[in-house]
Amino acid sequence: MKKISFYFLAAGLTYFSSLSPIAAQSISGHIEAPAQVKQLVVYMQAEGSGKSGQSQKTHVVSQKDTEFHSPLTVIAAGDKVQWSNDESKDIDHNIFSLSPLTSFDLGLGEKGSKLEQAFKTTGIVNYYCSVHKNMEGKIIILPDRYYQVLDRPGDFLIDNLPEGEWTLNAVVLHLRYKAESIKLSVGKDPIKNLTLKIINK
Amino acid sequence: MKYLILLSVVILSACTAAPKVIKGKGGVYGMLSADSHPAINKKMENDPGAVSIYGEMKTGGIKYQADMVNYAKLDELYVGLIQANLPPQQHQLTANTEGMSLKSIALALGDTIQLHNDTKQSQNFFVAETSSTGQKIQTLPSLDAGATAIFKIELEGDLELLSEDNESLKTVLFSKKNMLTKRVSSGDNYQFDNLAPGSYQLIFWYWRLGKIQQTVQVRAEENVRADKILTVDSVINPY
Repeated sequence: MKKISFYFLAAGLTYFSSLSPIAAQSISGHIEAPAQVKQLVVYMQAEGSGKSGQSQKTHVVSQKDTEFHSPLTVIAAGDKVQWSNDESKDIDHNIFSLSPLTSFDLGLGEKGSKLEQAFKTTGIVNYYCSVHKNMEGKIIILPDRYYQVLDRPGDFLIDNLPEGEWTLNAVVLHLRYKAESIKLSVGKDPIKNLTLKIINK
Repeated sequence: MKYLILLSVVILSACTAAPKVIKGKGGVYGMLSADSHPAINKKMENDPGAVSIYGEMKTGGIKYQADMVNYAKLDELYVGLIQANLPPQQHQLTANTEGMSLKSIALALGDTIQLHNDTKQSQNFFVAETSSTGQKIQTLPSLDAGATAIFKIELEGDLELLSEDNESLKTVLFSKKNMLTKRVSSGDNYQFDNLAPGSYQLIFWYWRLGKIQQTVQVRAEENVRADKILTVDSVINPY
């Protein structure tokens, strides 16, 4: 009887341990940057393995009034972007990119159409509509989905981060600057009051 | 639209003057145009009426709205010829309150830009690589309001010349070693003459459409014709 109880207990512990969430913590702090720096994306990159087993996601960019909404899309490598033609009139759009990372021409998208493209490699992809001169967009492809988009430097918070070795970094849209990345060991406690410095390239 | 441009190319062929033949030398010449995406042209040709932006079949042509790209009227197309031992060229650029006088410049590594600051403020210009991995920056000395200076371009590849202080001051640069460039409007002719016989690389570029490369063989006392139409599909899928 004692032996049977032991097996039940062991099996139960195994079951519950498999259900328990992976320990996750938050990283927070402040961006220190020159006044010229505006929009940036603060992100975490796992050391070694790269992408940390997240499922693929599709991000929708709306095309309305001959503009991309939003012109900046941030995704994780492996995700897709879907361009939805939401024009109220019969206006066609074409989506293309000359980016060395992923060049593509999605053809003509009529009103109501949805065009998709997957992005596997991390980096920045600029894309355009060949029909309309002011339709320009940018996709930032990050290694993981742990990021925060900031319209201007200030406080940041990235949460639900699994334990492990990570690097805190930022994509700075002003080409003159870059972030001074910080290596971090994420454990069971939140990491607060970090300062991520934006410096000259 | 494509047929119209092809027809224009044929008609204007007779008018496109070949470079003067110089003894022992050859030349390259032709016409450079830009055109809409072929899917747009196809739709325009099959459009039954005047309701859409694609215009009436009777009159033909797209009814261009102010926010549309009119490829037949683009005026900053470039042809580059890769040629060793070129003297540096100088390019003119003005920054004013509306933006830069040119959206793009194709030039050779080592060429200079004479930059005039016609804004009312001092500007700190710099040149940056624009590729994802590009980290190189060329910092230019601060340029006072009303001042003019000449800067040598020391970076190669896809670049941007920007003001650190004003986001609207931006010119796209394409820099390549030993590249002699000509700027034309869509449908204009270009020519490179007095070339020693040999193999040359031509690069056709528009900043928003990218570039197409072509190799030409130049023979003594002969002119090679190389016409090109830049379209989205031909740049992305050149073969």
